[in-house]
Parts: sequence; C-alpha cells; structure tokens
Amino acid sequence: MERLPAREVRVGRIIGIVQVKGGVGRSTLATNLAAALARHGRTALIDADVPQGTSASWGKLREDAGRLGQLTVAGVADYRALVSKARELVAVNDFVIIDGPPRLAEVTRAIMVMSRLCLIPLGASAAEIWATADLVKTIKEASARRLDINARIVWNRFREHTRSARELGEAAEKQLGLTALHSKLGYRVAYSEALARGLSVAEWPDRHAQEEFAALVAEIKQQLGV
Amino acid sequence: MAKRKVKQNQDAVLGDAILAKPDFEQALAFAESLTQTESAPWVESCMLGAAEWPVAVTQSAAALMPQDAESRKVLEARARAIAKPLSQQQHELRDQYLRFRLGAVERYGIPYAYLEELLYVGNLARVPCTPAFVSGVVNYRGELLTILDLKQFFRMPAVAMSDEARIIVVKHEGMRTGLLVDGVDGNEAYQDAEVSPPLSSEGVSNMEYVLGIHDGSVTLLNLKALLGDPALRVHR
Repeated sequence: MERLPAREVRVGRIIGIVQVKGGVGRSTLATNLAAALARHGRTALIDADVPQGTSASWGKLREDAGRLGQLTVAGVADYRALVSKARELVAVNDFVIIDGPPRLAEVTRAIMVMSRLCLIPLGASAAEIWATADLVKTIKEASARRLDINARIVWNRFREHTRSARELGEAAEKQLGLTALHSKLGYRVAYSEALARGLSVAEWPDRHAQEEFAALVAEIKQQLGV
Repeated sequence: MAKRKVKQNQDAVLGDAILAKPDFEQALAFAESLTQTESAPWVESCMLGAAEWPVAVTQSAAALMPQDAESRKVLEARARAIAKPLSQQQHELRDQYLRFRLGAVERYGIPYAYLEELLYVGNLARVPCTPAFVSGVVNYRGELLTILDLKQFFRMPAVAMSDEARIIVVKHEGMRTGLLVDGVDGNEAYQDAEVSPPLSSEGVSNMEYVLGIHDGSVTLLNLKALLGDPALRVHR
C-alpha cells in the first residue's frame, strides 16, 4: 500500500445492503435504516437498484412530505456512478447507506468492498439461502485479494415461533459461514405499509415493528462503533 | 482471523480519520474483476445440462413434438377441433340423450339428434303378417307411423305394458319410426369420451346397434344402424 492515509478527510460510515435475490427486503431495510440513522446524523441513501428504484421512490415520497431532515437520497445507474457518488457523499455525511441491485453485478461487488458493514437481508427460505451462496463466494474472493468484507445476515420476515424458520436459520448461518445480527425483523405488514407511504416503521403505529427495528439499529450502531 | 483483529485494533487506535475503508479505487478494481463466466460450483451442479441450452433454444418447437404417425394424427385431430368455431365445438363436446327403460330395469339412451317427439301409447293397431318386432301402427298427424318393439328387436323377454309406456318418435335420413319403450326417465348430458365400449348388456343380442355404455349403466343406441337395418325395409 503506497497511498497516503487520508488523515485530513473525515470519512463517513458506509453501510451496504446486498442480496442477489429480489424481494427479500433490501429496500425495507435500507429505507428504515436511513430514516433511523438520519435522526443521529447526516445520512445519505444511495439507491443502486435503478431503474426499479424502490428506495429512491420512497425518498421522493418523503421529500414531498417534507420529512427528509438530515437525509439525502440519490440514485445511481452503474458501478462507476455509484463509486463516485459514494466518494462524494461520504465526505459530507456521517452515514451512507447503499441499497444494491438484486443480482451479482459489478455494483454489488463495489458495494461489498466499500462498505464498513455489509448487511445481507435473508428470509428463512431455501431459495434465498441458495442465492446467498454467491455472495459468500464473492466475500471469499475479496478476502483472497486482502479485502475484508464485514458481512452480517439480517433475518427478515422471520417467524420466531416456527421451528422450521429457527432450524433453517441456524443451518444457513453454519453452512454459509456468515454471522447473523442478533435482532431479527418479523413478518409484519407495517414494513410494506410504511414503505408505500414514504415512512419508516418508527413512524408507523405498530409497536412490535418499532421495537424490533430500534433493536436492530442499536446493534448496527454497535457494529459500526458509534 | 488474527489479521482482522490486528487491523481492528489499528482502526481503534487511529480513530475514524484514517479508516481502512472506504477505499474507492480498490472497490472499483474489485467490481471490474467480475467475469461473467464465474459462478459457484454448486450453481453449475444445479444447472445440469446447462451447456446444451443454447442448442436447445435454436431448435424449433415442432422438433420437440412427438414425430410418430399415430401422435401426429391425434395432434392434427386436436388442432382441427380447436380450430372450429366455438358453437360447433360445444355441440361436439357435450351432447344430450333421452334416457328410457326397456323391461323393468334396463336403461337405454337415444341421442337428441334423432328425437322428434314423445307419444302416449294410444290406438296402437296391430298389423297382420309383420315381423314380431313390429308392434303395429299409429296415426301420427295423419300419417301411419310404424312402431317397433325394441324388446322384441333385441330379443328381450316381453313384459306387460304399463301406464308409463311411451312411443319415442325418431327420424333419420327421411325415415321416421316410433319406438315402443316401457318408460321415459329423462335426459342426460354426455361426451363421446365418456361412452365406454359395449360389454355384454344383459339379453341384448344385436350388439351392432349399441353405441356404447354411458355412466356404467345406460346403453346408448346407435339409431343410424338401427334404422338402417334391412329387416325394417318392406319389400313388396
């Protein structure tokens, strides 16, 4: 490493949210996390799943309602744009959250390497666990290039009381060799209802959803050392 | 593992100012090192025969169809049936027959296509010097209508005529005749596919006049064969 340490630049924390399978709750996690972290500091949310742009659409709704506060929302179409946007936003924000696309593309790889913490939302279904095997391969590939990826599974739509979900969860963590965050998100309509209105679950009247998400945010902050 | 621990310690000591992350140049280089052929070995094992896919895609759909003569015949018949106007299709798909009795229990059916009318058994006049299966004649709208006794025709034991007896007027290719039966029960819908081949209907000897068995118990009559029987022709 010949480069000089960027001592003068205060660097924000990038949190990447990746999953090669669609519909596992990337945008749910990204938008709620963005809203929660924006209460603690300047936060940017980059939607790298353009043109689908669920997170970007949520941001637009939020902006129209005048609820953005310390949050900035941006959308990027390719990995070069993503890296340059992340470089730009990380200099002026405390947190940068990147919502990845549902495929193992250059964008996904860039997010994984850039992120201080890489969250992999996962439902307790076999298809989602299989899809994650490709991410694990990418992590190993990066590790071979001496690039550490700090990845954590976030169990989503989790049914704590069902035995199959618990067993599948434990088996998946063991097989994939990934650690999961202790906090899990349940199977609740609050997430989709809030998302559709440009809100976060903290702003939606479901006490269980509010509590479980607050616990997740606390754990993520602990991981980031803030 | 040990390496990571050391690195984290360094980060902790030096603070946020010189974080090892993010390194955008490295991120770009890693992103660009993605080659399309890469995929986990287990994914390849799941896609058995994936290497042959492009070949399969270039084949026409017709090439995947069964090629033998019998299959082609079935498929062509199916194609013709589908190509017909809807009303015609429905007519063919679902038809109705009149269900009636011969004797106390045996049930028979005649497709609606041959039906003209149902009559009470009124003034049935016996005609001398006619075969036993001709019951006689009736005045049917000013015409003499020959009435056939199907029980005689099928050589079934005779039973006494009850109040439920009826004459079913049928017509095929200009030939009109009346069939004397022991009772009419109603009508049923049927499909050609539901008609099984005739087995041994109790006492029925003229099996060539049987179309098939519907619903396990109703013998559908082949009116075309029945009315075309040379025995019904009168030779002067």
